[in-house]
Amino acid sequence: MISFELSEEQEIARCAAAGLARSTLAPAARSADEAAQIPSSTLNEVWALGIVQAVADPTFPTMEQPTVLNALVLEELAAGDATVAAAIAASVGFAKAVAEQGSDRQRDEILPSFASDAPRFAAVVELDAGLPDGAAARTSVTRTANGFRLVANAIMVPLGTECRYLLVLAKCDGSDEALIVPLDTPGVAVSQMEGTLGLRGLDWASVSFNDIIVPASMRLGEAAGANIQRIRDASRVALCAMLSGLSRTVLDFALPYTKTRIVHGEAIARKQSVAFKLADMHIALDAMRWMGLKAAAELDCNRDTPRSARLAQIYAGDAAMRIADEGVQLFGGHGFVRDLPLEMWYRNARSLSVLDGLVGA
Amino acid sequence: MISFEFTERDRQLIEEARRQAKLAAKYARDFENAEDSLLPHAYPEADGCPDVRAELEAFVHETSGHKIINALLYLEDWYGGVPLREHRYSLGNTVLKIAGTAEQYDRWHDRTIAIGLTEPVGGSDPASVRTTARLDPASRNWIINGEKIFITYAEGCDAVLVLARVQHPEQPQRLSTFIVEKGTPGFNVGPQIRKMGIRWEDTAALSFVDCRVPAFNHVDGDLKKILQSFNESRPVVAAYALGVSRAALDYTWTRLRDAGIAPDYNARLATQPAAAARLLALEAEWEATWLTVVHAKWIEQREGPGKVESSMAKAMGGMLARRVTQACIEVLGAAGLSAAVPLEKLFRDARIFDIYEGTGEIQRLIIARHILGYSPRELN
Repeated sequence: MISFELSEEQEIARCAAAGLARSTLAPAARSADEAAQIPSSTLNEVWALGIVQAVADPTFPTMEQPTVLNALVLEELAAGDATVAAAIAASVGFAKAVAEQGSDRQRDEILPSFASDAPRFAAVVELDAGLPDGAAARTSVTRTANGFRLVANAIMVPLGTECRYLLVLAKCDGSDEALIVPLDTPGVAVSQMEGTLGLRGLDWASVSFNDIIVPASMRLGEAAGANIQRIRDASRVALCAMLSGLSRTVLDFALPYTKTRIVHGEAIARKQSVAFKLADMHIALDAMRWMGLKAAAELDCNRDTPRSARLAQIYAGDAAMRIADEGVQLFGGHGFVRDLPLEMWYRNARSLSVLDGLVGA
Repeated sequence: MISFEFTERDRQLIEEARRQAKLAAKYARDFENAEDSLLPHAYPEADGCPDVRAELEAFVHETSGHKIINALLYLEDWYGGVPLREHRYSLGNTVLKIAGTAEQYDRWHDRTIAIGLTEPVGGSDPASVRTTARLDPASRNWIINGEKIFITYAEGCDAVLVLARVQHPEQPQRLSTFIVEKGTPGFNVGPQIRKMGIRWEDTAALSFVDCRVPAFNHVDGDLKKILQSFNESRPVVAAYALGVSRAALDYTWTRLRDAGIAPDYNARLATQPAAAARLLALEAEWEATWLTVVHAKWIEQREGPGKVESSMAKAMGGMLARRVTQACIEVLGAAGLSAAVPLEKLFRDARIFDIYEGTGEIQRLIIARHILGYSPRELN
């Protein structure tokens, strides 16, 4: 039965996240971007919402639609600061994959630390995700007697200095594998990046796996293996949700400005060329939200979702970039200067919309 | 709880409508060179096929709702090109329902009532209508004079609901609506209009020369009530656009598969064929539009037609059909131009959706006024 009505539980969670985004995340976003670091006080506050803990803690009451709820929360967080939202979504992606698809032993060993009060970070990376040349030659995942040998390089790992685990998605003998790699494994080298275009507070690193052995006990699901597509789809749902939040912030910021900015004796919002842009932004924002929530709802009823999740990501990536782009344009020179957030949102939109993997909902 | 799962009944009705659309597809080109012919009430293949609209009425409580599923059944009609059974969606009937008295509704509800709105000088600006309705004080008849163009169901309808400027000795000038039945002296229907596409659709001009109708035919609908009926129909037009776009995408994917190119939902932009990437982006727009249509109809089911949601669906649908049909021909190249394949017809048909029942620009005005809190005077 088709319905667009959020449950009470979902509304409550959404409102809590929206409140934090408004009071804490949005005001701190610029300084985190300039400092290329999210302050630990901010991470503590957002951690206290309990999003990751709800995924990692088996005693937490089960929710009817956990993915839908997480998507709604990530959207609100991203409306405050997409950087913080992405940090949480990365841990959600990792913890959820382990909670849903890990073996009993993997869950018992790994999840308790994600269910505690102290923020703990991890991410999902897909090897060979970028350009076709070169990467494949450098990457090699081979089976050994009791595990996997990994020679590879993961570009763009969030929270490099804080990240405890990576869930590495890679092809081995033609089939998809998900391997849990603690970042203190000998042979894993984390190097901080010089700086990045956007989501700068995420303190990006690149991680190289220099001929490491991942034991079979760290293969997600162990002998049973895992449904890798589901992990990818959850990542796309999370990205769509965060792109929706970011887009909403741009539109909400632009609307009042266009009504007060007088050009040739009239508010620019009263000119069709501007008003129509705003209308298009509004339409696309609404559509991308529902696309992400549709994929989330389908994930929650264990349907195959590669189509709905990917199309949500494609649409949201494209529309959010366009919205952030028009946001800058509507403010003219003010859009380009760092006193206002438009230029930061523009950089963040380009960054979020080209990520794949890393996060989850 | 949000859900996008069809009920069993939803799925059965939509699948049956798709099956029937495929049966009807062989007639889709019959009107290309026979625009003066009218669509039959049913094609022979309809014999033995269940009437999905009747089934929707009968089993509506087992569906996601009448408004949602009805819109999706129209999507299927347009997937085939022509409906296997004609189901008229006539706005005149909607206005009669909204604005007519019980007696007027009883008299005409089972007739097809076209809507007479657009005039040679006023399409997007219906407030500029020049057609007049003058009260003859002696007979209490209304005398209608004027011209309407681009009227759907002009020939096949039983009556037309005409928007006219009222000239009444004791009343200020205003717009109101009048039902003029076929055969009324002074009411004439022009020849079928020659169109780029949707040639099966009955479209002609109407003229009224001292055309007298009794006072009973004055349905007190004003422009606002007519525009209100658009709130129901605009998402349906977007559903038409979804049907045509789906047909174009399906055909193009079939041809690409023959060439070894299939959608890959995991491939990155840099590692997949450009044609597949292009089509996936259009599939994403298709999904986005589907959701705005279903959302608008869901709102309509709960709280009556939503003006803004309805315009959002229409704006999306109109643009989707343009972009998809243009791109599908571009992707397949010259092979898409031949009348032996469906794309060239879909391309011509698709172009109307961003024009009729309010252009994309009109929809954007409505949306922009809403989000900016502007009146029509402040933003026009």
